[in-house]
Amino acid sequence: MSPVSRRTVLSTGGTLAALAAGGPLLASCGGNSAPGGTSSGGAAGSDAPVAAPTFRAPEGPEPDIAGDADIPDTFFSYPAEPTVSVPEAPGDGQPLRILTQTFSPVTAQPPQNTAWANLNDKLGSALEIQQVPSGEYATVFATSLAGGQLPDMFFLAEQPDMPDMVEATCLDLSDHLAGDAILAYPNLAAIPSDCWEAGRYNGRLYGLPSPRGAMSSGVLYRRDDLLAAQGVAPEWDDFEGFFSLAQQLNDPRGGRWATTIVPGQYIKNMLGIPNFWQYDGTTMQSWWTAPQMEEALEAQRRWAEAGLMNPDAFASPNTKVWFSTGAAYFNPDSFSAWSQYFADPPEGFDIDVCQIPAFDGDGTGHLWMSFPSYGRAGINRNAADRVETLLKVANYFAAPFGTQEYLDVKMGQEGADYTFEGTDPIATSTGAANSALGVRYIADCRIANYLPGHEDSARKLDASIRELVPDAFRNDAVYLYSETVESDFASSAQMFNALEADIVQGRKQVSEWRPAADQWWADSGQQMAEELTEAYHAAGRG
Amino acid sequence: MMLPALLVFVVFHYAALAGNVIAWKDYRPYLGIAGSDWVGWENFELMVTGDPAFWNAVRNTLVLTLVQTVLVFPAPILLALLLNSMLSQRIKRVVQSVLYLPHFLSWVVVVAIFQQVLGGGGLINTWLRQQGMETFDIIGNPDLFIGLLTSQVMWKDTGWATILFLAALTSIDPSLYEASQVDGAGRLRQLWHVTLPGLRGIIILLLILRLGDSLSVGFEQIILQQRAVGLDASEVLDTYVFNHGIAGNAWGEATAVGLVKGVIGTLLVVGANKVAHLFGEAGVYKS
Repeated sequence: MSPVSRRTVLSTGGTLAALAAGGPLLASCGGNSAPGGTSSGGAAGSDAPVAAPTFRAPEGPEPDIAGDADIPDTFFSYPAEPTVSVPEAPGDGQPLRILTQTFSPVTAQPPQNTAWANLNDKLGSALEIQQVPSGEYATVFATSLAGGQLPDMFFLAEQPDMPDMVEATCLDLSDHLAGDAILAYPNLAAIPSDCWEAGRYNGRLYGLPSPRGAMSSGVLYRRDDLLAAQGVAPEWDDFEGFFSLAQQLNDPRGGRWATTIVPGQYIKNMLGIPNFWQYDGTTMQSWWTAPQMEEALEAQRRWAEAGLMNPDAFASPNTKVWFSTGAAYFNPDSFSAWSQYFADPPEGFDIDVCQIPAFDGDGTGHLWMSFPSYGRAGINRNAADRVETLLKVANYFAAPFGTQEYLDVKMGQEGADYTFEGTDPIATSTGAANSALGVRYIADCRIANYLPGHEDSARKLDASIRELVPDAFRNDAVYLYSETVESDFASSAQMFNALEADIVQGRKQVSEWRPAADQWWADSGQQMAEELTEAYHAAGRG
Repeated sequence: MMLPALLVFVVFHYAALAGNVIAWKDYRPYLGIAGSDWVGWENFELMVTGDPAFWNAVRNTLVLTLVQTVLVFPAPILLALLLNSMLSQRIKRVVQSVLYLPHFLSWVVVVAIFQQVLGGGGLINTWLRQQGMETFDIIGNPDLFIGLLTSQVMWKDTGWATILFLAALTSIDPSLYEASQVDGAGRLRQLWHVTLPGLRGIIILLLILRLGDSLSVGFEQIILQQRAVGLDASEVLDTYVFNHGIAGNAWGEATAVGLVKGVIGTLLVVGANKVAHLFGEAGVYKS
């Protein structure tokens, strides 16, 4: 989904690279969706934009705790009688080829994979899914594009000249989706309107969104069960307090470290560094040039020097495993990872999300809000004769919580991949792996906060999101277009990611950051900021 | 019989060469080769104007080439001589099998093995930590990166590379050893006057071929370990082409760099072959 590869994502606590280039949070499924938080939009001089698709809320169960645009609805149980949102099989009997990314191990193929086989049956078309590990996706997409090998539907990785590239390779879906036309696909119509901006280029609709709200935002998790066992209260008022606590907890000899990796993004959140692009009233500012960057780098460098993270944090980070198995007390991940940690929790497993005090203890820090949609997927221009079938399949993928189709897409086949406990579908030992097909990056419904059998945890997650979101920083350039961002952002991100990694690991001095940032600003940063400011004003936001 | 092999060569090697034309184009994947704009020599400029990242990659590549030619290339010769001196055929076969084995492991596995043993959380460091002793930093240490790469290459491929030398050793006429023995030559004299001259042809042939891809110093192996040590220590021409060209979307420049690298490799092969001919050796082909 981003031009940042796993190598760079995993460099400095993961998060700079991840969020700068819109890539995933380290080994998680969080993150924004476009370089510098832009993409989408379109070149100047394009025709008047088509209307956004009409939003029509799905008819589904009442949430136990109602959410809003950013906060997901919370459900404590699955409806006893799931509704049917797609009465007829949408497929045309022909195979349907998909290129998508995955944050999970690549799944088995059908018929061994019962979830996939079940979905093929339900769709009436066999899915031929090429699943690519997220870190490699951008390069695989680029080479597929160059080789003319793009399939019927594909997750769109960031590329230069995004509007022109999308226009040349993807089908214009405006006639099928703009305004009330989308009502022919009720599950797609239940996607919030702002998400569709992720797929708008040159004013037209090309992309299918995957709504996430705040759920892809990166936070710092903590293991409350391990902290309680140590008799430590997870409280600190500033960075120094956090650092001291980490030193107290750190136990390399016992094989347990304070953090999985250097918590770079958490430190930046404490310092109130912009969520990449921030409109300051007159122009856009970037985090790379933010005055607090030196402090953020120095804090990370100290963290690394003190060895407060796993010794393999830079070489081969395996954060989810380290955190789940108790080899670390704290782990940066996204809100949406919460449910994964509860897929197969060890005895007594208890986690929560850390609050973000200000770095110097004066006030609060600021979460970085993720984008409304996790990127977008396109339909191949050459598949025009099947567009309605493909949109019907996307409509199936986007079936909301409470439907039978949601169970088919998210859980797999009843009996083989999940069984009911009461009304709650519980994944079998193979179910979670089988159903991680990656189609959630082709089209998806609004994410729901639902942890079958863990009502308390669902409440906890809801409370955490509600506490952090009000102070969150948004990326003000979300879905705005800048030609310079499109052409130069990837290489800039690569340079800064490498520099940050070098500084944090002590190979370069913190003082080397400012000259590089100033140089970037002079070379292309200012141009990016000006173009984005212009687009910001043109979009009526400023 | 040759037709399928010839076809493979024509389709996947010679026809694919035409793709190098994107070195002179502002290549955009969605426009295709024909649709992309012609930019002349613009993509070659970074090699002249001095993009620091490019020159860093060149420097690392040359250092690695030198180290690997000096250390890695002779290793199988020494090993082949040692193996050849073993008297028990049975032990020799067992040793050979053990030495050949790592060649069949992919780089992903080899790198993982090294990390599991030498990494910060690896076998040795974990043990040291449990004993309350100081740990060492090999995997993430840029200063040791070249040594690490070289030892990995040697561990993986030295055994396999002995095959050609062992074959050449068997082709040496045994009567030469008998004659030298009669003349009173000891083992070292025999090695110097019989064995090494017998291997000279194959050593020179392999050295020339090695020069041809001497600028390819291990793409997979390096890209897998790059994040731990940073680009300054680890970027070589092949990873630069990937990072800059495919990940950084500068296809034209990356192709130009790859093309120049290929041209230099060809010149090295042709040049070394000429030198071999001057010294009366057969080289890659007879003149």
